[in-house]
Amino acid sequence: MAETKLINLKINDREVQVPQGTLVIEATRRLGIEVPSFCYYPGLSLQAACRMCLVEVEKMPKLQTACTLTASEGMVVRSNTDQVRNSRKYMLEFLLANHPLDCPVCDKGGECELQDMVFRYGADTSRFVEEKIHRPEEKWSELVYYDAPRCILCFRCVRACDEGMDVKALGVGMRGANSVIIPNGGDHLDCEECGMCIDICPVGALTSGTYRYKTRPWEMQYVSTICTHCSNGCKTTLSVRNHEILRANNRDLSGINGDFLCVKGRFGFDFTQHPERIKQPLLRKGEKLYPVSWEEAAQAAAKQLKELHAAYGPESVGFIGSNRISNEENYLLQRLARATFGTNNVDHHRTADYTGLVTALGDRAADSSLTMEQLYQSKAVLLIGNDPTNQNPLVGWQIRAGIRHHGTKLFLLNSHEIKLARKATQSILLPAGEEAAAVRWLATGEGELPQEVMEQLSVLRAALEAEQDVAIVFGPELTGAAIGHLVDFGSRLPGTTRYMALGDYANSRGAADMGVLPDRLPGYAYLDNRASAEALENLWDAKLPAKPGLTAPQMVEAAQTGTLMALYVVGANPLAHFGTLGYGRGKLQLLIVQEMFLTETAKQADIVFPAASAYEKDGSVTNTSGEIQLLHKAGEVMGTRSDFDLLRILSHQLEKIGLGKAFHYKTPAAVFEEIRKAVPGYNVHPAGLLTGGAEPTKIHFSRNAHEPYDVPVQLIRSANDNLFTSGSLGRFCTMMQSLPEAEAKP
Amino acid sequence: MAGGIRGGKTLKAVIPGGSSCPLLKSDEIDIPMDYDSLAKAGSMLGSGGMVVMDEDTCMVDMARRIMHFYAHESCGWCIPCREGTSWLRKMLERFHAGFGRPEDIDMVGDLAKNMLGRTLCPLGDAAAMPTISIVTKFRSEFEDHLHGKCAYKSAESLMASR
Repeated sequence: MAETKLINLKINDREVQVPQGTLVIEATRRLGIEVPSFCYYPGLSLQAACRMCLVEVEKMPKLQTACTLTASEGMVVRSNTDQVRNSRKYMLEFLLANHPLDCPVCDKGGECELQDMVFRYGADTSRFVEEKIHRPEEKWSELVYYDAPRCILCFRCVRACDEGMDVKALGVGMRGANSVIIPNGGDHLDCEECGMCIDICPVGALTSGTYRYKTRPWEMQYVSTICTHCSNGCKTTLSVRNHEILRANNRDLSGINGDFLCVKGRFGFDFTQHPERIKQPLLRKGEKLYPVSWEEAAQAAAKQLKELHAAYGPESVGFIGSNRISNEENYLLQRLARATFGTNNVDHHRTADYTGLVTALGDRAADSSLTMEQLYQSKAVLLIGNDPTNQNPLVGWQIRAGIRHHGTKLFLLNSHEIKLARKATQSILLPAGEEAAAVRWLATGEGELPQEVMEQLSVLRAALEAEQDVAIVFGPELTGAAIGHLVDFGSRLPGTTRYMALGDYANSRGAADMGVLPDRLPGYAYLDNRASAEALENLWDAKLPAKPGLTAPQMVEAAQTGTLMALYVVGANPLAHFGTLGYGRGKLQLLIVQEMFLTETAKQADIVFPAASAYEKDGSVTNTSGEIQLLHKAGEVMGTRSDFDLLRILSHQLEKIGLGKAFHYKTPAAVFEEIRKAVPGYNVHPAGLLTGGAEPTKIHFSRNAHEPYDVPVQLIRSANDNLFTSGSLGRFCTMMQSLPEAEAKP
Repeated sequence: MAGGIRGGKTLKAVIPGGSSCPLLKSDEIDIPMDYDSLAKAGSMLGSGGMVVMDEDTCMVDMARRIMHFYAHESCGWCIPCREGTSWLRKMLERFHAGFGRPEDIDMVGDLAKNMLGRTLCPLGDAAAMPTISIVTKFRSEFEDHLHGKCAYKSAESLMASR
């Protein structure tokens, strides 16, 4: 890595050293000196529009904007002189000339940058006695309202939409003091509804349609947790009042996503308050499900599971885990299946072949994974399949930011036209479904592809070989053997190659890492890896079954034929996702579900336990790039319990009637302590997590003598979500579903 | 030059080089017309677009008209010019219509001085400089307007001139 030259300068008589190329405004921040700004925003292009950051610089005749001035050797800067103070005072006075006195009715009051700046640097009276320019408020969408008089024309929203999101839905119209922000629909927005504009607006010009007039910022608690929708692991700071989540944003810049959130992260929390939320245990009596007491439901569940297990053996019971529950909960579920019931019939809806990636990388897995930050820093990115704009928005954001800030080269291999293609250095459009074939050709030169595609692939290969380090990001189009080819190709590139598999849902990666798989233990160890199995047997004080179990689709099939007697489903909807559409519970004698809503599967269950959502519990989740982060309980819905609690209750009930050992963990954190010991690669230092950061896991895997890995293609099913859908859960995100852009999507 | 003032009137003021320049009073114009001399006199040769005003010109109206131009032309990018020109235009309109207050005279100069040198481009300076020169050199005309009348134009033609 090239050495960056350091520059010495003086700010307010204090020495500071900064890397060459640093802006003066960033240098002042290093010293903890505040130079106010509205239009300057790290990550977006420079404007020098608001003039708030004017500072004195020796040897320069006029005041200079600190946000556009690059620090130079020996520069002397002063931001605390009378001239600078005067300048700031007048800028604010000018701004307040047309700005309406809306504070009492403006949502931004209490968290408004203009309020803060006026308190710190402004005058205490207004001398403006003329008529203010007034325009009525405009509703641009269900989620975005624009109040032109409040707008201070800092253009952050325009830049965030244009550069950050590459949607370009906002522009500036008219001129002078009559300038306004104009949406692309003239009087409305037709966009990705991410809401970046609302949260980046320093004042109350752009406000949220769902949060309007609800409350004041100081009346809410702020809880940082992880978004429950896609697999990227964005931090979302939930604003909560009286246990109810009122809004979500990430303006505190915590987490791996900075202030980025998509429409799901920002607005997709209303499912927590949906009227159809299950709030009592339900027991089937005859044709219908009836609310019953916790005792009745828990005892019935334990009793019936034990009876079927005793009568038909461990093979007759199946467990399906979840892509949205925490690592602790998935870990406990597979422990329940293996240690208590002696079965490997445990699986989940696999949206990416994480197993394939870890197996292909083997003992290089720990050093070859790509974090979200590394994706941003990469200078060359190969993206195969997937459509990040719709399915993995943070991935899209990181790639666009890398291109914008340091000229990252993006190489695209896809059988669909995706929005990111317009930012690509090279984009190859493959015939439908040929991503795996293209990767095989890159690795081996074998396979039939159209001539011009093979020529473009040669160009691609040459380009990648000329790069120092390549980041490879791939969607679920690549599974099994195809991932093997990809890793072969990647390992022959000259520099360090890192990989990120793209799955769906907040904890798909965690589910796989925790061993919610019929043929792997936690950490992907093969079932016949005696060292791994014995370690777990000692921890759980039980023998582990050796025979691989059924996959989730096989369990649904087995239910139809009657070979599976009991199915325990946590946070999943297998009867809707697997098998032929329209599969019912078949010949299952017992179907127990831990769920939030009466999904297709829950409707057919014998017992339903009301589950808490990811926003209502503690725990940890692992994003698609293998980074763990902590969930924090934000809201609470009376009557629901976390899946951790539900599994604990079941384990106690089972132990009482003589099956298995009760779980004695007092909190999810206690489970995590065990996970750190039991799951290779999860021994991360808790300090990083506890202070709100993400810790990359270091999964390492020994292949030993096993056959080359492959997996039936239909086992890995992408959710194929877009920005406005989120599997079964997304149906209950009323706001998102109602957006016109959602209805317009195919 | 050019046969003297039309109709034999007296010269009051000159804009030597375009509307951005500080104005020169009639007793200040006896200088060579070159860049250095005009700079020394506190103005500029600029574009060389000369505007000659006689005794019948209302200087407050002149300030108003000049600020009207800059408020209209302001692109709106930066706060001081966008808000400053708009504010000053409204003040000067009000002032010329006879609704000025004593504190407004100083405020015009004050606001204009605090636009100067702080804008993204020289348009802000261009709006500020003539305004400052008019309110400084022709203060008495501003004070006259305080009594609700413009000595040079009737009320009707004031409204019509907008």
